[in-house]
Amino acid sequence: MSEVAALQAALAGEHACVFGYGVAGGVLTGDEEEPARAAFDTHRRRRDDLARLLRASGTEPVAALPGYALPLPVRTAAEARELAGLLEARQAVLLADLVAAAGSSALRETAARWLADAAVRGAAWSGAVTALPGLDPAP
Amino acid sequence: MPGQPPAPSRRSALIGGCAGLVGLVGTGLGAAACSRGGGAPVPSDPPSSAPVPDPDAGVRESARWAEETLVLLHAATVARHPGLGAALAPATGHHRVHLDALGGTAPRPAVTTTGPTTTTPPPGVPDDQAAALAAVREAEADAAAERLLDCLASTDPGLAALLASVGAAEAAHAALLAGGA
Repeated sequence: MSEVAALQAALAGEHACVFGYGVAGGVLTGDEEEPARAAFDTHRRRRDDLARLLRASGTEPVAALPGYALPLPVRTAAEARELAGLLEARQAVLLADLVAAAGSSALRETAARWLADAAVRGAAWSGAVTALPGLDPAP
Repeated sequence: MPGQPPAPSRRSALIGGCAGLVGLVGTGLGAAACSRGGGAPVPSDPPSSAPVPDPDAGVRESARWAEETLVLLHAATVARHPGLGAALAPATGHHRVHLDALGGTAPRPAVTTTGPTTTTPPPGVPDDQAAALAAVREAEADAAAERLLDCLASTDPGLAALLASVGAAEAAHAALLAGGA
């Protein structure tokens, strides 16, 4: 996979995460409201960072889709947590791809740090982590 | 038709990449051996036919050693504090997976994990259970930082992804253990 293709895939994933956390954040309340908001903001920043990187390389960044099919109904806090964990697990796969495809040490480091963040956030939502986040099969 | 958050599709390819590294090394050695099989006289051991050392051997060995150390630390901690067994079991299993993925084998602990009566307390594990758990948590966080450095030092992209993933798991272990395990 080329670096540009991996960047585009990671960006598409960030678009999905922004959408998904928008849904989950509307359901989570109390102590879970702030972490959901923080995750939403983080994914929005990363979406913008990836788009900037692509533009800097002369590539038009992939746009968000008009809508996203949720992999599960999100009506309760438990379902919102499950969605958030799923988003992080899937994004971790795209970030592992970006680690492998990165052509520079700086991009590899960024992708690796974001992968660790995804694993930590996913663990916070689901209460568990797999042995190899980003390499284990995502749900 | 609405879209769906992208589902991953590269897992097997990535893992295949790691396994492929071993295959590539093997192929290189095989090619070198074949180059000596001709009937015509050839110079002895020309540089071009010499096996190429794995440039990531040091990184791989360092990561393997770290994973072995973590497996032993977990075992020693559970031997001293059996009450931590359930909390540490998932991470212990992960480290064995890491070791396997890195081409190593899990070490045989010097102490058993079946109960406190089978051995004397292992050295280096605090008597206080909370302190022992904190020590494991710190070791996981340190390992996560070290795997990031290994990831950056790796010349093989597949190995880099594997090391990033191992480090990500360890960062999550540290976070989970801090969360009231």
